[in-house]
Amino acid sequence: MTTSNPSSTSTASEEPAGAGRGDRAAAVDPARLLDDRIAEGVFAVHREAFTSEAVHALEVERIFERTWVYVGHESQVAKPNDYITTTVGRQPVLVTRDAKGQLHGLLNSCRHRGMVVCPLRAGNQKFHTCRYHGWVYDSAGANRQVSAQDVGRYPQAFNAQQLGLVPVARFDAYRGFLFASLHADVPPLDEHLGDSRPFLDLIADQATEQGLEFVPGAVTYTFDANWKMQIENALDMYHFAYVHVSYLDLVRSRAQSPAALPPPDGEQGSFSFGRGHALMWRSHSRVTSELLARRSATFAGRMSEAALKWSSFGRNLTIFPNMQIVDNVSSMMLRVIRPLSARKTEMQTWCIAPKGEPAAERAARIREYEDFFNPSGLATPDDNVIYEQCQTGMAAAAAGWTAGYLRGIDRRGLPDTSPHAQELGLSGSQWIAGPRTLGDESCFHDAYREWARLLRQAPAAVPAAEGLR
Amino acid sequence: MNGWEAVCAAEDVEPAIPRLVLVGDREVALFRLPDGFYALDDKCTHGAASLSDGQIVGDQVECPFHAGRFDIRTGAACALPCTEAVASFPCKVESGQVLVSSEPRPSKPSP
Repeated sequence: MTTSNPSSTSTASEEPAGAGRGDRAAAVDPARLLDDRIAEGVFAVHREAFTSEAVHALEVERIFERTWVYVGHESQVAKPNDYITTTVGRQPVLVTRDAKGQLHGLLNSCRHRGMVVCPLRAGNQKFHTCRYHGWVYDSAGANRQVSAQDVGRYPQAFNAQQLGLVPVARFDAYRGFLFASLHADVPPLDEHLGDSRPFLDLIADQATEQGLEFVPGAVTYTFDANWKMQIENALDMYHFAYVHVSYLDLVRSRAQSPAALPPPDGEQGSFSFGRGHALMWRSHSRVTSELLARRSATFAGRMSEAALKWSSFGRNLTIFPNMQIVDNVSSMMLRVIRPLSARKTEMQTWCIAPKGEPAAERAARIREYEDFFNPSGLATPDDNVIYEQCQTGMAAAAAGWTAGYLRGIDRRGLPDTSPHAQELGLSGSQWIAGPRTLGDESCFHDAYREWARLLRQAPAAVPAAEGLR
Repeated sequence: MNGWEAVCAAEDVEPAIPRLVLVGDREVALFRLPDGFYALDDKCTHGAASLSDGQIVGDQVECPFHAGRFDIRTGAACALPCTEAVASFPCKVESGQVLVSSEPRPSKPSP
């Protein structure tokens, strides 16, 4: 069997730029969609990055199916034989804990005819039986039965033991957050996450030894816009005072006293960790001091003084390309981003919480979640409408490049090193900080640099059909 | 040779969960129903599954591989794809121990 590209949806991407098939998709050249001349004060992303289906196809193939992506949290597969199913790029994946407690990331596709072996979202099963011809796999993915193998006149060398569910190329966890890569050529997960890890620690360390859990009630929704709108918006403090003005008005009208409003002298900033990951932070949150004190008391002993301070800051973390955690101190949300097309994105969102937290704290967390984060709340629907209108507006190709990546570029007057980075022990991260109206956009840059780096990779090859004989 | 073999304490068998026990070197699935203990050959007659991994549904055990079912009291196959009965072994309780016969009951044809 000769090697060829696995993608049926991105054949055009195989053509070199300008190969001249008269096919618009054939002209996709990722290099020209990002203008990164930061030393000259230029950073721009071409509108086609948001509107082109050819770009979308390349993103799926070379980003979502080629690098580490978040696939779940270990609390979702806490017990032996627990499983969840998800999608990595276009590919169905089964995350399962086997009978002995070991976690596995497996392609959710029967080795016989390719049918999805486990069609459900989550559950607990010792065995996964294909509904087509009854092939059976155990919760570690091993093939346990080829139905009627003995009378099936298989070729002599046929070996059912080689036909277990195929593991993803890389599967690993950091502090309970599970990641998979369909491509083996990625750095170890720790190295991939780099300086973003202290911020995942800040989430994980809020839990006791019981760990974190997802509050029951996952929500899945779509918006008719490009997924990168979501990447940007969660790192964007600039939009808050405009898009969420109705929410801010409500907070104001609810306030019993001026103390309930955010302090006007707050600080805001960001870190960029490389490989697309970034964090936007602000030194205040909407949590009341009483609730904050009760919450902090439960984890103060596990955190350094600096970490404790940072746990009281609002923090929006993006782990490129598909996971965001927003800890606004009063509640915590984990989002998973899945592009369905250039102009349609599926979001899955959960409220995350320390297991076993007191009922009053849990109730406050859920109320805030409903109020602000949930798609039935006051913030997310506003954001989604904004994304959709951005998508409509991005079609104005004749208007040229946007000016949406320039705030935060001018570093004159900033110190060489960040006191914030120092106290957090960050080594190689880019940073910026300023007043709460800073509205930094430079924290979007790493996502586009990683995006462009991955898009420029050569297509992946498909190996020959080994293992069938 | 017929004989009785003590396999476990009666209190160790939960009503909802089959238990894998050894009678000689034969693997047997032990069940507790409201009217007593029952034992079936652990291996499904259709596939390579252990019935002790199965789920108890009323008076029947459902095979974990293909959802065929057997009557826990008689071993008779009662849901496709299972058509052939599994061997059923008499059980009794003495001094709090479950004893299983090493000789199966005479087989009856499946309905």
